[in-house]
Amino acid sequence: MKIMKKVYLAVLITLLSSTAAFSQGSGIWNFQWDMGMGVGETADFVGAYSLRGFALEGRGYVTENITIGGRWAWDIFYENYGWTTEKHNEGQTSVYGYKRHYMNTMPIMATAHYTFNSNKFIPYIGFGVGTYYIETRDMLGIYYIEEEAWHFGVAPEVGVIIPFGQTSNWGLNLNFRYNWAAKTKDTKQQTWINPSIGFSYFW
Amino acid sequence: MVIMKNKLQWAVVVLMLFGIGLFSSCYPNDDLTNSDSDIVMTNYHDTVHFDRIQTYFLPDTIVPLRDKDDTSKVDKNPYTSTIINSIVKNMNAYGYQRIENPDENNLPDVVLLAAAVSTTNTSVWYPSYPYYPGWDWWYGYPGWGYYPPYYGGGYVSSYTMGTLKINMMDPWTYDVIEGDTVMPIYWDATIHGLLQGNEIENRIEANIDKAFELSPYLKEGK
Repeated sequence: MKIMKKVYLAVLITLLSSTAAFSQGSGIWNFQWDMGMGVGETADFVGAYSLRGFALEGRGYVTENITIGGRWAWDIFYENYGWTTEKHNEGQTSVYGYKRHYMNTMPIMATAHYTFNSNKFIPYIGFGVGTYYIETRDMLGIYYIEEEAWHFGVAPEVGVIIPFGQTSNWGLNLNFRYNWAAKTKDTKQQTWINPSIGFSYFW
Repeated sequence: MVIMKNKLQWAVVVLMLFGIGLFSSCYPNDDLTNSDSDIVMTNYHDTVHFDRIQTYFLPDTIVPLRDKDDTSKVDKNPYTSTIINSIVKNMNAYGYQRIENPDENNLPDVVLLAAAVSTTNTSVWYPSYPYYPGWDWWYGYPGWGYYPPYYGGGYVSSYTMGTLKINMMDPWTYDVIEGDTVMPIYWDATIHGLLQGNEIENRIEANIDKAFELSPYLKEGK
C-alpha cells in the first residue's frame, strides 16, 4: 500500500503542475500507451522490449507554441532468463536456478514542449525533468534482491499529434522519448526509450 | 476522419487505460511451478587437489540440520535412499570409490555427509542457516560471504522449503574450536526448493545430478 500512496501523490503532483500552467485557457491532455526498451546497462539487466506501460500528461499553452505541464507514467520491464548458471568467487561458486529480471519505473516529470505550426499535424519537441521511482528485482527461484530508489532524471522527446479532423477535440499522439535516470547513492543509472502511442484531447 | 461523441471518447480512454492496466501487473508471468523454485549451489576450495582423492566414506543416513542444542528425536528422512543412491551414482561416475566399512587398513580420503532440513514459513534462507557439527569451518566458507547479503531481501512465507547439503570433508585435518570438532570442507552442494508436489524424488535426483554437473573439477585426474 505504501507504493500506492506514492502513486496517488505522484498523480496529484502531476495534475497540479499541469493545471498551474493552464491559466492561458487551452491545452492538451494525453493518454498514452508506453512501450519501452532498455538501453545501455539497463538493457544488460532487462533487455526485452516491453509492451507494458501507460502515461498521463497535461500540457497548458503559455504562448502560441510553448506548453508547460506534467507527466506521470508507469513502465514495466520484464525479462525471463530461464535456467541459468552463475559463477561467483572466481568460479569457485556455481549457482543454478530459474532467473527473471524485473524493472518497474514511475516517472513524474515537469515538461515543456515546443509545438510547430502546421495545418494537419502538430509536431513537437519536448523535455521533461523530474524524478523516476525505479524498483528492480533480480529473481532466482522464489528469492529476489530488490532495489528501489527515487532518481533524478530528464527525458527529451519528439512527437506528433494528428487531430481527428477539423471539428474534433481529439487526436492521435505518437512520440518517442529517451529516459535518463541518474544513478543514486545505492543504485545504478537507468536508461530506456519509450515509443508511445495514445490519444490527445484539446481543451 | 472519425468524430467521436464526448461520452464515447472518455469511455474509450478509460477502457484503454483499464485494459493497459490489466495486462500490466507489476510482476508479470511470475507463477512458478514447484520445480521452478529449485536452486542448486556448489562451492569448492581451489587449494584442494581433487585428483589426489580416490576414496570416500558416506554414511547411509541423512543428518538433520538443526540448532546446536536441539536434541529432540528426528524421524528418518523419507528421501534417504534417493539421496544416498544419487550421490553414490554420481561419485562413482566421477571415478571415486566408496568405502562402506572403513577400518585401519582401509581408510577413506574424504567423508561425504548429506544433511537436510525442511522449514515452513521461511523468512530468510541463508542467514538463519542452522548449525551442525563440522559446519563452522574455520577456514572460511567459500561463497557464503557473498550470498547471504545477496539473498538478504529474499522472502517467502507459508511454504515448506527443503534444503539438502552435501559436504565433502577431510577427516584427517580436523581442528577443535570451542569444543567442536570441525573439518575443512573441500566441496559442498546445496539443493533448495519447495518441498511439495508429487515429483519431489525426481527433483532431488535431477538436482543432485546437476550439482555434480556444476562441479566438473571433482573428476580431475580420474
